[in-house]
Amino acid sequence: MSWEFQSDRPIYAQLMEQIKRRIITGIYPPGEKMPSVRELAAEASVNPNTMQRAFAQLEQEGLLYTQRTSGRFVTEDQQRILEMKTEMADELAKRFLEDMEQLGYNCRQAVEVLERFEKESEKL
Amino acid sequence: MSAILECRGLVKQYGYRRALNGVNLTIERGKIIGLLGPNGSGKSTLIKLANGLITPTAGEILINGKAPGEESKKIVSYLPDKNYLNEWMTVEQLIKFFYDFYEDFDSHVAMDMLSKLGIGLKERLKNLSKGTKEKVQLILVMSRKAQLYLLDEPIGGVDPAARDYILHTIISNYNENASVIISTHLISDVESILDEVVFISQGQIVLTSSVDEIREQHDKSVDALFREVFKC
Amino acid sequence: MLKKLIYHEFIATGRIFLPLYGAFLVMSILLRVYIGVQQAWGFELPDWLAVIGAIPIILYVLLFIAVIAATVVVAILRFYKNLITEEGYLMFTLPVKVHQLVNSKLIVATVWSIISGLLCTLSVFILIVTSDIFKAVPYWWEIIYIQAAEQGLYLTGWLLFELIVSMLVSIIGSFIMIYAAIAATNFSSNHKVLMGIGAYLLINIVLQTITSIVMISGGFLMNETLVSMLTSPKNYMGFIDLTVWGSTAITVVTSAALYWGTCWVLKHKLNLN
Repeated sequence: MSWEFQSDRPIYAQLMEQIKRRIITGIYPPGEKMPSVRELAAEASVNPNTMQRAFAQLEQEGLLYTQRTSGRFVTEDQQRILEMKTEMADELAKRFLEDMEQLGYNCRQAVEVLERFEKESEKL
Repeated sequence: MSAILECRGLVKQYGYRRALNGVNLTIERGKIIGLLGPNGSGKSTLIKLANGLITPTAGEILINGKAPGEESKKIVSYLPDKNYLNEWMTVEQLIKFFYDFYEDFDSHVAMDMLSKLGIGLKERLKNLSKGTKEKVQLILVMSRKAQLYLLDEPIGGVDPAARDYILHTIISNYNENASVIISTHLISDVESILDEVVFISQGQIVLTSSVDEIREQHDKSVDALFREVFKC
Repeated sequence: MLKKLIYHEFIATGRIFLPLYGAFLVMSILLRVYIGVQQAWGFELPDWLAVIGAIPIILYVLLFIAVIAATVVVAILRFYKNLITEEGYLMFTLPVKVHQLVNSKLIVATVWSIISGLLCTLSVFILIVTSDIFKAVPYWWEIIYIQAAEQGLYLTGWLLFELIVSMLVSIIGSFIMIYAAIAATNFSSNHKVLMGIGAYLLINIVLQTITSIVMISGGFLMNETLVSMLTSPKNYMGFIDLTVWGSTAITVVTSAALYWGTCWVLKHKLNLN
């Protein structure tokens, strides 16, 4: 998974989103130690202060926690991770529906499109 | 503690041309700052003044509270926008040179980076390609634990892979309490590593802001804002 | 820091001087052997070969000139290239004082001049030495002393000291003059070389004028003393003393002024392109 940034939103917000994805997909599993700010900043080619800001925000949201001596870890709270996953799924669904609305589909019609896809992939 | 770099009413006149026209600017510690402006806007002039390579016509420039001099040079690491090293020297001789004169130079860091790139210590600078020369210069400059790094066009005219290497080297080597000033007109390339940007145009500062502020307030990248501000 | 600057200055200049010195010494020896062989066998080259026969001598003369000229050329190039062009970006961002930069160049240039001078003397010795001359080495001093004394010149230790000091002062003074002219290039952004040459000519004219004025007015003031010195052979030495120390003093004063000016310009008026 590589780091990519769009130009219209703050970089720290995009970093948060991408770290969340990595937690969900298990690249950073629950309870694991996170790379240091500097390491991850270098990997993503972003400013360490920006990475620091993203980390701080993720801590506030309860997805990361700091142990004073040994560093920063991914939360062990599976429930919290699941919540976050749901939040992200909701966000995606909302965006999808907004886009469909622009094309003139209402919510029901959008779901029909999805159902058609479901059937087609079952055939394969 | 005073700001790492401060300019007050800074003016530099070259004959009839005013390269800097009353610059007031304060740079805090621990930040990576982009000094952004079109060609000929005064970026290099400002950086040369900070290094004491030219003298101000009026106003003052202070590094750590003092005018550029022996003391400021101990804490400033400078990458000029030209080949400024002796071409006949070997990489090893250059390391020895930096080690002899800069107390904060770490030869191990430098040699480590050079060996990762496969650059031999016995190579003479003049036998290296243009791109490799630029990397050697950057490695020497970033191997110092300086308080202020002044990088003049570090990514001008290099290929995308080299550009990534250079940016990576900058963020993984600068010391955390230090500030880095990167002058460039290639904004989209450096945008993600900057804390703050300073827009300079015709010798004057036209905007200073943090990158996230620009993105939050204008809903656009610094690059897009730059294009708007400097639209021809 | 001065020590380190001097060390690196020697490395930068040694790579030119050492091979040159080596070639010069080898050529001196080769030429000596060549001449020796020619004399021993007593052969003379036919005319059409004479040109080829002259090649070793031409090479030697060229190297001789190069050894002397290099001291000046390298001094100019090192000061200009290393401090005023791109390399100045490195040198002037080193944490050293401006006068240390100037001193390192000055000391190293002077040392090379002395070595070049000694080497030329050695080379001539290699060329002319015969077993008789060699055997006479212990008596050289006596011979020279007597010869000089016959001309009214008494080679005392004091006079030698005087001559060495004045020679050193004039070598250092001429480098400082070059440096001052190069420092003046900071007053121009686009025509640096022209500015340097102009400054050098100007400094020369000014110095010559000052020297002449001092000498002439000194001559008028001490008219009688000088006449008595020159008319009596015994006071000849006094006259030499006076002129050598006088001109050395003038050089010291003017060089000090130029040195100060050079440092001041490099510190306060630096203007690298």
